[in-house]
Amino acid sequence: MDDLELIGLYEIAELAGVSPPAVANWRTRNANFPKPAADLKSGPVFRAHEVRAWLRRRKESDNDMGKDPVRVGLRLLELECAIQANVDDSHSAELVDYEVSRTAGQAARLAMLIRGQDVIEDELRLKKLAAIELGISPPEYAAAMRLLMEGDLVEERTTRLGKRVLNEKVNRLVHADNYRRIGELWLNRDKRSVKEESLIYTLDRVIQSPTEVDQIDALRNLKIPDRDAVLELGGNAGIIDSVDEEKRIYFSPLLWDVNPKKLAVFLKQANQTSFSQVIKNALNRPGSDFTAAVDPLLVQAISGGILPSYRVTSTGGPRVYGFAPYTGGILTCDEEKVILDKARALVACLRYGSEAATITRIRNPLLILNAITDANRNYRLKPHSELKLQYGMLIGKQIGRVIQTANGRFIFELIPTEDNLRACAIARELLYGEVTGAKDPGADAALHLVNGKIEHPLHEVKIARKKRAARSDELAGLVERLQAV
Amino acid sequence: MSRGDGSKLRPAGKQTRKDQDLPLKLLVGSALAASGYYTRINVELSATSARGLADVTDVDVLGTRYDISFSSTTIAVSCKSGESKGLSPAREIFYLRGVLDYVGAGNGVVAFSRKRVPAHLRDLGRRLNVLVLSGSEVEAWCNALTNGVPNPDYYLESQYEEYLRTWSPTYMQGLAEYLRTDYWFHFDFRNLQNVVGHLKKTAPHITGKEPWHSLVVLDTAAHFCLTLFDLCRQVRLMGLSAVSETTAAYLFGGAPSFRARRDLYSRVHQLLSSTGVLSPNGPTLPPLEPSYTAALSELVMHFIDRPHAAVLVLQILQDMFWRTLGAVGVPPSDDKNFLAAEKLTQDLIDFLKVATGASWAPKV
Repeated sequence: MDDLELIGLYEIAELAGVSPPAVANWRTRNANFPKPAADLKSGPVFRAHEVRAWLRRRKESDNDMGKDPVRVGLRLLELECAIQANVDDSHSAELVDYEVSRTAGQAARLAMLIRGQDVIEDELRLKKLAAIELGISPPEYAAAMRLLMEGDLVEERTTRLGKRVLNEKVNRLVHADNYRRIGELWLNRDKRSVKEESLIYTLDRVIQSPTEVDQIDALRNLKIPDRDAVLELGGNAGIIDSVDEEKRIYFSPLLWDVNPKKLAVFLKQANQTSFSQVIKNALNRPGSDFTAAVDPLLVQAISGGILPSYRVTSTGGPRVYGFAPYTGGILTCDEEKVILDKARALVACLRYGSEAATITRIRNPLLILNAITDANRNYRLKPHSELKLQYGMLIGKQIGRVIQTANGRFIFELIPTEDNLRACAIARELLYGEVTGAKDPGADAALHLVNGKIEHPLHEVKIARKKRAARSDELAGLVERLQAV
Repeated sequence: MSRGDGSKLRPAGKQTRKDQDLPLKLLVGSALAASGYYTRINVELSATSARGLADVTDVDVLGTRYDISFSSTTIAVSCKSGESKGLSPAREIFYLRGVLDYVGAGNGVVAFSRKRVPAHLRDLGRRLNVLVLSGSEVEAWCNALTNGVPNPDYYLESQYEEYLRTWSPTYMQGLAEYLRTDYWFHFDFRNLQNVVGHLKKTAPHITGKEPWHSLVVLDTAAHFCLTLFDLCRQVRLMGLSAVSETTAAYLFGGAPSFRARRDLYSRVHQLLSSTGVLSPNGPTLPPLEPSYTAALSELVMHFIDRPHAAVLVLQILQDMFWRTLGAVGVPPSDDKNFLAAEKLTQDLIDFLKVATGASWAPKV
């Protein structure tokens, strides 16, 4: 009889304890999600036993992180980046317990730094760069380099003339391979402390979805002081945080635009006020001009990062273009946030070109996107005197480069990497396609809390230096204001 | 250049009679190699059939070098030491012209060390873009090629004979035969998978314990490198962002052929799944693409990123090969491109090691 039982998206959401949009996301992101038994006018219906089996497999795979070196490698990288960026004293005594993980994380960062070098002739220079760029001290460098050699990511070689050089063997196309090698080395280390093991596993658990603290196996077996120490370090590094005041449910703020717990409250409140219209406008017209915004609420939302905004300056003066917060839909996984950021920057520049440029205005931004993604045109725009200023932000985000011509004009050329081309495609969708994410801006922020496959590296330097999400007090202030409206 | 049927061919590594033209071939081969060409002598253009070698011809000396767009410049040389009346310069010139077209060579040279060539035949050569040399001109041409270049002492007769002996073990015959014949006859995308496939069969015997093991790997790596350059050129044309797709498509002879195969593969998969032959916990269909496709894309990416260094890889392989045989080799350098080229060479050798499951590979 069980075979005949059919259920819809809402029932699946209830079964899994998530929201229906989260289930919709699972369907689009997981090719192995059960196929619907029928597509009714009211929506798809599924065979219950298939869905239950899928949910069971999914849960098992979540608990199975210990065997997945790629995920371990990624978490190690994220931990080290977070400690460097957010912990005041990254060499404090408390961090001794996490030494093996930190060395592995530093190795992963070093691997990213040397990626594409092929041959490192001057190791001393690399050591200095590692110290400046990544905060890796010389003794730490030596340990991390040993690990890289052990993982066959770097090879030492003596040339026929007796010069000692390093051959870089970091995989450029399949990033997961680098993390796999680092993860495997970490997994094979005997000297890992219980605390660092717990921290890595906990981070991986909560990065998938918010989890009740009692459900996190890695923490369950720790003594209370150790457990508190692990969670405190996670909190200080900005990689683990609690959703609720009682600190019952934990999540990782690493992969979201803004703090989801505050965003949920904010969107809920916003939906009941005139502010919801601002978000609706931003959703319907990504890259809305917020330059003249005077509403203090709007200004605070922009400065607090709730409405991601981009400032473009050229001959027409500075303009600010804002977007609705990302609520899923256009990206296939969380690690593509960097791509969304690039796409938004592109849209902002094109909006400026079509609305605020003083010399020549873009009639159709789509033509510009077509031109810079056209290999036959060498991914270039025709020379223009205003391009250097107008597209300055795109250079900073490594989307393109500007070449000066003999007569003092500028050519913009896209750097045709996979992520930049994808950013152009998303920019096209933002300009002409459907709105990003949920139609209803007040939709529960649980949509943010869906699982995402994490294979691609986060831009490691970007993690270390990325802007912090809006501070709790800023968001709390906004919510208070909304409640007062 | 000789022509004939398969029955007249000697088995790999065994010379049944002395090749009278060999000293001249070695001289020309040495000069071309020293001047930066990847050079081979006695390149046979033939395919193997069930009965052995099918209709066959060969090129006495073939030199190839690549520019940074991975486009090749090839030169074919026909070497004739005899002076008998039966040796017809006109026939050699016309014949070489056909071979040049077949192997895609831009330049052809017919070198007669003894026979005098009348002026009207030199004109004929010019019209067919074939340089005709005779007597002392041959040596002068070789000297011009290597003018100012240190002599690496490649292609000494004793070394060449030692190289031929390398391929004599029975278990080497498959690889030797392929590299000697089919490889050059087809000279297309098929070589990439075939070279790996043939080396894979030999790999268990390549342990590094014998000095000639290095020769086998280096010689095979050089052949692989030629076909890899062709793949690099394709990827450059399609755009580096499509490196993975282009690599997979190249292995199957292009995008349409790849799509057709993939389509067929998925139908077979569906059919076998629906009949219960395949199941998630039971037997599965082997993947369509070779297991090394991702690693190959990675290698191509590295090569395209550093074209100035990548095009030196062939020369480095050639130099390592002859140095293993006792040649002096080219002087070492710590030039940036040279260091990167050495690294890329190691990458290529390591790729072959992993792709063939070999337990050993030489170090640059």
